[in-house]
Order: sequence, then structure tokens, then C-alpha cells
Amino acid sequence: MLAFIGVAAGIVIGGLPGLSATMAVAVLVPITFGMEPSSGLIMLGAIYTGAIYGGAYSAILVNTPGTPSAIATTFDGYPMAKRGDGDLAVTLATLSSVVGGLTGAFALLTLAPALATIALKFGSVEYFWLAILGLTLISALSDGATLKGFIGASLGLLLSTVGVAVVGGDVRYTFGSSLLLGGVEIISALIGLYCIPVLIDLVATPDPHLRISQKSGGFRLREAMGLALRSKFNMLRSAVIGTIVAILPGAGGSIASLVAYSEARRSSPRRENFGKGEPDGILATESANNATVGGGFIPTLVLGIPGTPPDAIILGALLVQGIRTGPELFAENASISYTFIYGLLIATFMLLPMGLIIGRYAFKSIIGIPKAILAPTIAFMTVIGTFAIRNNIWDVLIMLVLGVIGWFLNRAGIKPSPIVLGLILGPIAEQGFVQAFLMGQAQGNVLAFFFTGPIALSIVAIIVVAMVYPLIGQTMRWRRGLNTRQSDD
Amino acid sequence: MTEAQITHTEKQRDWPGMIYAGFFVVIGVFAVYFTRDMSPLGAVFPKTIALALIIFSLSYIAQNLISPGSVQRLTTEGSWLRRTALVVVMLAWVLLLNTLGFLLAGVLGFIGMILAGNYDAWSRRRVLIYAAVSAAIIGGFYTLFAIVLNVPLPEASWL
Repeated sequence: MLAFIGVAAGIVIGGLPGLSATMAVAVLVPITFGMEPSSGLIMLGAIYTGAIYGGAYSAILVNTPGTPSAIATTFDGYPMAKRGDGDLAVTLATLSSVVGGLTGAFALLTLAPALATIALKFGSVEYFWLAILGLTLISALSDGATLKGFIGASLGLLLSTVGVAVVGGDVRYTFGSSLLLGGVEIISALIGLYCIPVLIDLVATPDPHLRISQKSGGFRLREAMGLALRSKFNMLRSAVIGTIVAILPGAGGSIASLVAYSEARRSSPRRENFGKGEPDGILATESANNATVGGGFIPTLVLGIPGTPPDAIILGALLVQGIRTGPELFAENASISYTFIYGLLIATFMLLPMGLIIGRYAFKSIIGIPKAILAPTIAFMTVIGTFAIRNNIWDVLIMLVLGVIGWFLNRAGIKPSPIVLGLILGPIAEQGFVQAFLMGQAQGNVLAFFFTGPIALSIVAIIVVAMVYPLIGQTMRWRRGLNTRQSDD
Repeated sequence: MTEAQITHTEKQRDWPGMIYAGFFVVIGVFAVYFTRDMSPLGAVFPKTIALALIIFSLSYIAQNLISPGSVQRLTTEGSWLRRTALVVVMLAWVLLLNTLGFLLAGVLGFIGMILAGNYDAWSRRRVLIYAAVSAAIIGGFYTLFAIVLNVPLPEASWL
């Protein structure tokens, strides 16, 4: 029942342009605070699953991705809708979302325990390097703006040091104010950085994307299944890509769907049709972005490092519930972990009937909400949602201030994801760093202690590759640009 | 990406980005300065991060001055007045929560946001519909959080 409600709520919110899966989970997370941990987790997983899928509706029918994960769905979805195949496109998105969601959830079910065994070998040094890896990956994935990604991550890390220190109990950067003693609350920061910039831009223009494509007909399930079976390898490959990308902390559904789309286009015999309404494009992107749900939970649950921004919020919700993620989650809270994973599978199965029905009958009414009502409703949810986390008005104020700052930073090309990752991973990195530093000091060689053991060294190697590779690419692009200008001169 | 965010890619110096980077250098310097009040153990992490922020920001400025690359810009279109109105309304809403209580501040905030976000001509029918929808949304959320979930929402201080 909770999965049913969660999927429905997620689809509705995800289907609204501007409301991402992150926002869906963020604004609805306080509802789960009063629930049993396993029930709350099932609901959050279902909301997330539904929201990622729901983003496809507006992407297909009005060329506006409901969530960032559905960006690539617009490439072929909207051309299909324009030529009168909007209903077919929605059904294709539903089928591929189910395939992708199931793949990700099965990966979580089968790979998570294996990863947990490895994660048990993690000490303070490994956790420190793992946190750094999470930060470097998201910065490295800020294609073309790597330094801005690093700047954003540093800002997030610095914000995470506000308040009482995790080790030692120092009071830092509070400027004598007791309001900042508790630090910057993670979910408040997430709501501010992701929701407020959307709100600010939502009211700025009259919204033409509320227009509805009038070409929807029926489900066209048989036709869609034929196309899906024809492209079963494409769907499976995209689902695997989605799962793998989601395991990398911070990568997210938008990157997964873009990678899967480009791979589907590269390997398709009909590649010239991509971008003009090719069903394989929708099958690839929707399969990949729904696979990120289960895939993203692998590092979130096993290592305590969020794979995607919604995972970060769910991680926050787990902490509120008093559950500490990591290897001990599967050892000490096995029933909660597996109940959650099976709940995710059930939620994914529910996507098929619910997605088809909601997609057919409810979309027009959802998209028809006027801005004058949509904006205050979102604002109301952000205020009440943020307040409910710690019953603290100052959290709401911090949320708003961070949101406005986030809007300006976005203009400067600094995305919220690196800041958020810095904020989340900061305490993990600091705790690991200080503990390892003290242990190294006790052993007489701090530096050597940080580079001891195969796991630590492997993570360091991945960090080096993740940092150097995009910088080389960026330098090459600049040089190409420089050469072009010189030849023009 | 909304209508108000249109991306352009240009090959030129990113002056706004450099100004931001300069600002982050100042923040980093202040962050390092304030670590003097902390214990050595408590200062090591924030000092390291602040130095990293300074280095990355200076690198960005240097990179732009020496060899500018492609800069992806978000062109801000739409009404600045409405944007400002939204932020002011939300700020007032939050600051008045303790004085007016959650319900009254929420109602006033909701009305302010409707005014900031409305582009349609006002009619008696529209006013009635918006009033009914607003009441349903505020009432629904208030009931859910205050009554069902027992969240102690702020009460008016003057009552």
C-alpha cells in the first residue's frame, strides 16, 4: 500500500515540469519521519521510482523534462508526440522504465551484499579516500567546467565544517551565534539548493511549456511491446549502463540516460532516425534512468555514499531514523535492508499499470496547474518540509538563503550537486582524515598510513584517474580553441 | 531547464565566473583566518578545505586569463521584479512565522506568491477558484503535518 501511494505521488510530482525526483523525495521525506524505518524507506524508494518515471510524461508530451533524468527522453519523445505517437511514446517509456527499474533493483539485491563484504574491510583511511573519490567523481563529471566542480565541492565541504566539529568538539564558523551550532542541516540545504532556484525561475516568465500535445490516443501496448522486444538488447545494455553510472557517487540519472542514449545511437542501424522520433532513443534513456534508482542505492546503503541526489536525501532520512548506513546495515538491520529492496521491486512492477493509467488520464490535469498556484504550492512544501526536519525556523531561513545563493552560483556555472556532495561527504572525510591522522601519528608516519593497504591504494588510483582525465580533456579542448583562434588570426 | 534559463556556449573570458572565483578566494582567506580560534585538530580540515578553495579559485582565474575556453552561460530571461518579489515574499514569510504563526504567515505567503506568479487577468471567478484551491492546499498540508504527523508548527506569539 505504501509503495502504491509512493509510486503515485512520485509519478505526479515527477510529471510536473521543474519538480525533480530530488524535490519529490525532499519535500515528501518529512512524511516518513513518523513511520517505521522499513515503511518509510519503502515509501521513499517508491516515490523516487515514480518520480524518475513521471519525468518522462512532460518530456514526451511538451518537450520539457519533468526531471533532469528525462532530458534525453525529449530528444525522440517529443518528435514522436508531434507526429501523433505521444501515446506510443508514453507506453514505450513505461515498459522501458520497468525493465530498467527491475535491473537496478536486482543489481542492488545481488551486488549489495558482495559490496558489503568488501566494505567491511574499510577503515578510517579507506573512508577518507572514498569520500574524496565521491567528490572527485562529481567534479570530474562536471564536463567542461571541472574547476568549477572542484570549487563547488570545496564550498560544500567548507559548509559542512560549520557548527560543532565531528571529532574534538570544536565550535567552528558560528561567529558567536547559537543558531549555527547545529551546522547546516543537509536536507534543508538540499531543498534550498535544488528547489528555490527552480521557484525563482518559475515565476519569472509566463510558462508556455504548460501547453499540452493533443495527439494522445490509447495505450498501444501491443505495438510498444513489439518495439521493445525488437530492442531488448538496447534496453538491457542501457539498464546496465544506468546501474553502473548510478553506483558512481554523484553521477545521477541525467548522465546515465545521456550515456545510454549516445551508446544506443552509436550501435543502432537506424542511427540517422535518432533525434527525429526513434523509439529506441526513448527505450534507452528511460531504461537507463530508472536503473539508477536501484543502482544508486548500492553505494548509499552499503558505503553510506549517495549515488544520486535523491539517494543523498534518503541517506539523510535514514540518519534521522537513527539508522547508520554502511556494512553494518546488512549485518545488523538485514530485515530493514531486504524489506526495502523487495519494496523497490514491487514499486517497479506497479509502475506498469499505474504509469499507463496515470499517463493516459491524469497528465493533462497535472500539467494544467497554473503557475500562480504551482509556485506557492512548491514554496509551501519547501517551508513546511524544511521546518519539519528539526522543528527549527532557522533551518527554513538557511534553506532560503542557500537557495538564493544557489541560484546565483548556477548562473556562474557552479551546479548544486558538487556543493551538496561536499556537504554530505565532508563529515565522513573529516572523521576519516582526523582518525587516520591520529593513528598515523601514533605509528610515527602519517603520510605512509594514508597510503597503506590495497583498497586505499586502489581508491587513490581511481581518484588520480578521475581528476587527471577530464583536466587533460579540458586542456586539449582549450588548445584546440587556441589553435582555431590563431589560425583565424 | 526552464524558459528563464537559456544556455549559450561562447569562447571568451568568463568574467562573471572570475568575479565569483575572486569572491571565493576572499571567503577562503577568511576561513583560514578564523581557524586561529580552533584547536590544531579542529582546524586541520577546514584549513585544508579553505586552502583548496583558494587554489581552485585562483586556478580558474589564471586559466581564464591565460587561455580562455568555451564558457557555458545561462542567460537570465524573464522578470527580475517577479523573481525579487518571490524571494522577498518567502523571506517575509519565514521571518513572520514566529510572530504570526504558521497558518497565518502561510496564508499571507501563499497570497503573495500567487501575486508574484500570476500572469492571467484577474476575474471574480479566478479569485474564487484560487482562494478555494489555496485553502485546500494550505489546509491539507497543515492537517497532514500538524495533526497527522504531530509536527509542532509555530503558533502566533501574540495569541
